[in-house]
Amino acid sequence: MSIDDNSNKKLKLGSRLKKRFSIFQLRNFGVLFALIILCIFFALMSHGRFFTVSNFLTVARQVSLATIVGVGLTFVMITANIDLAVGSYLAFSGIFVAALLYIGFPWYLALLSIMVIMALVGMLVGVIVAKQKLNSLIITLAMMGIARGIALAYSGGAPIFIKNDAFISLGTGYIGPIPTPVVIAAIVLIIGQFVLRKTSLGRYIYATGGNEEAAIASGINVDRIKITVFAISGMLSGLAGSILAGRLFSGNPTAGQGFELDVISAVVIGGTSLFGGVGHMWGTLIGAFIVGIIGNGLTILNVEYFYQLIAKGMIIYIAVFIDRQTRQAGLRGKTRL
Amino acid sequence: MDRGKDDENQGIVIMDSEKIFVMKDISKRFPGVLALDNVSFEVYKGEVHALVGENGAGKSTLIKILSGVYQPDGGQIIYRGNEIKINNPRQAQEFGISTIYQELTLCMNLTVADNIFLGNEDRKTIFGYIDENKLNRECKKYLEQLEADINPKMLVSSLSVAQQQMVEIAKALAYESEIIIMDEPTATLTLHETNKLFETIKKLKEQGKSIIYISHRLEEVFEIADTVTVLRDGKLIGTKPVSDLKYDGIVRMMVGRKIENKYLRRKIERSHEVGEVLLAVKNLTKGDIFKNINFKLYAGEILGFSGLVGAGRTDLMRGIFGLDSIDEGEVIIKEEVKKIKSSRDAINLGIGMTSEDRKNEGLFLNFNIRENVTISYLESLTKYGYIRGGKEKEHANRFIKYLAINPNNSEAGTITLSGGNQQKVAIAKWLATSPEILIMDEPTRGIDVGAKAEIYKLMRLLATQGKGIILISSELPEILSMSDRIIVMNKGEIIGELLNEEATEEKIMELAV
Repeated sequence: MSIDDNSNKKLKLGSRLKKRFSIFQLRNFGVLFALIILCIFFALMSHGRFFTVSNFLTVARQVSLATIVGVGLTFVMITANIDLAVGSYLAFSGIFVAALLYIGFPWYLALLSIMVIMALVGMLVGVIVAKQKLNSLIITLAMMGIARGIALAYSGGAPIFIKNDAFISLGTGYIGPIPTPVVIAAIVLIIGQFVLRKTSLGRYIYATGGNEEAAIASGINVDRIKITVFAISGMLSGLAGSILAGRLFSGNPTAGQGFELDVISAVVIGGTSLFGGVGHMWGTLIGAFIVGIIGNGLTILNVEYFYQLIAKGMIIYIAVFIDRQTRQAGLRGKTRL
Repeated sequence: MDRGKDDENQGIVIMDSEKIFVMKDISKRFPGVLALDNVSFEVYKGEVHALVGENGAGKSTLIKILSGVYQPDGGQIIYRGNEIKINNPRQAQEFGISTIYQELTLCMNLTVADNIFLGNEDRKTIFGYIDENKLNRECKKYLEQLEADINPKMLVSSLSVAQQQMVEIAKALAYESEIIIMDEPTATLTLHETNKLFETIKKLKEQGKSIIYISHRLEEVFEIADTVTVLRDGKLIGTKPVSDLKYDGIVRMMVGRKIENKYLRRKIERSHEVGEVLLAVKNLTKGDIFKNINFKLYAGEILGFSGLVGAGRTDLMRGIFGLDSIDEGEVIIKEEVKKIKSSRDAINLGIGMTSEDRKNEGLFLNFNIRENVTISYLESLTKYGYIRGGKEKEHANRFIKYLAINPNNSEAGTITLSGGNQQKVAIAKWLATSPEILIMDEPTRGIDVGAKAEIYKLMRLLATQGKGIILISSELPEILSMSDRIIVMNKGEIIGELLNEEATEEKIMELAV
């Protein structure tokens, strides 16, 4: 009997260990592993041009935009929605923050105003999705056109230049040795993960995406959760748009074209499920790095932009494929029909 | 286990029949569990073979191996004398094995005829062209064989669950299946529909089809099955002719211990006096769905709601609970008229409601037990939106212990739990909000005998503590044994109220039909 007990314990420990390294974690190890492989690959291929401090800072600066917007999009995608308008939001917020600076707003007030405005834009999308029960894919596709259209119309298609140095340093400056956008991204990321895991809002976001019917029956105001995540996504896009405008010394109506694809790739590669209910910010960070490093590495290797697009497309496919496979493996033998 | 004797018995009963399907020493292992341990299982031509066992006993796994969803790790499958391998569901279908799952797998957006020939059209078409008239004619043939009055051109989404089931059976016929597996086919049917299904099963039997019948309702096993196989913890406990067995005997085989039967028998002594009125409903109306509903719920009682599926019971409760809007009428809680506009309002007024549809409306399968248990009570466990982790865990553990949820680990995923334990988690979620009024919609649907008894005991305990419980159930024995009073609904109206003492199955059915 005691032997039996013992082996039982061992078995339990074994299964507990297995659980510890369960499929979601495994997948994250997978993407982290992929990230390391990518780095090694580019390091070997580029003859030392990849692994330099300055290149690392370049990558980090690029990745910080995708991370900031990715945090917002992770919230949205965990509720089983999507926001395709984030790329256009960058242009929209860049143009209007430049306009606000032009009429003499101080940098912080311009930044704050544009974040509030973008939160309101996001809220509008959220209200439509939640109250009119329209599919977020289509609504944000519409918003993608509308936001960029407004940015183009207002600016006449030309950039609006920014002369406010403090604002420009949002995109180009340093805090200590670290680029300002990187610091901002780190703060956003940590707050995002905290909200997701440690607050009731985060729990309700998971609940809404995991099982909307059950969430409603459990007394969660699902509409409010949806509106909130779209507002967050809009607001963070406003922040990223401002940083980008700072870096470009101008609001640019064509900025951020195709950016939504980079961010969605990052979020999905990071393990957030397209079907909602699953995901976290650390995954999004790794995903953003993978997307960023592929772009940066291929550029260093002098691969033309066209081929980079193809590579990125392949990566999205692989990520979704892995998402599907691990999901099935995770469910296999566990669910009853 | 005296298997030898079992075999003998079987030989006597079905001596002349042909063994159509044999599974020999089948094993299946999943990470951490041996789901099936050397299980052998035989099906004869033209028999109804019931497969019973508690949740987690291995029934689902066995069925999935039969239908090609899983591949066994060991053992043989012999079909009509030849050893076969079933690699996927499609192949099972081609061998003549059809499975009708509890959750039906029809395409809602297609017609009856389309569904019946789905994946099977190649027999009926030239270069992919579908001759619809021919399809409908053929379809009608199968439906008539079942004496089902269904128009082949109707959309499946417009059919009742019972009719959809008939379509699934017709589909099996269209595949010329020899073995039809039915997984809990009556779980969502009314009594009347169940009887109709049984007639159909008898007809299939006469045609020489073999039926593998899985059900938690043992009464049905006695009514319809010829042979019964009992599984427990992945092991074969025995196969016997039903005529050799008694109810208690099967239960004992299933649970491996003698179960206290008192919650399954009708008429429980009322151990308490009913108290104040917790909930009163006045003239509640919503279109044609429910009309002029008046009733009172007292503290300390279990109020049963009986009626056919579609009588409006669930809709009424959803209306009271704030999930659906109501047109007219008042909900009075403790003598005060309250407007309940959302489930949040209802929860704040001390109402809880467990859903009949556990997977879709009750649980978050992406959450662990803790997160499920505390989700409706989270606001009280947070400070400025921050969840106090220790407090949350403590709260969850209290209810895990209280309901004896297995595993008693708050961090275990709910997706891995058995049906009975999932239901306990769904109930725990509501108990965690300490409601005074608990609406339980089909609380024991699809869960095993042991878990059922525990839930009955819990309901009685809660009533004794002075809570008011509304029980909706389509199982008459359950309604009769659990309810202090029974309200019968028919077509959206309350048409009768019976006290426990005077209620019988016949009286309820007279009102309900």
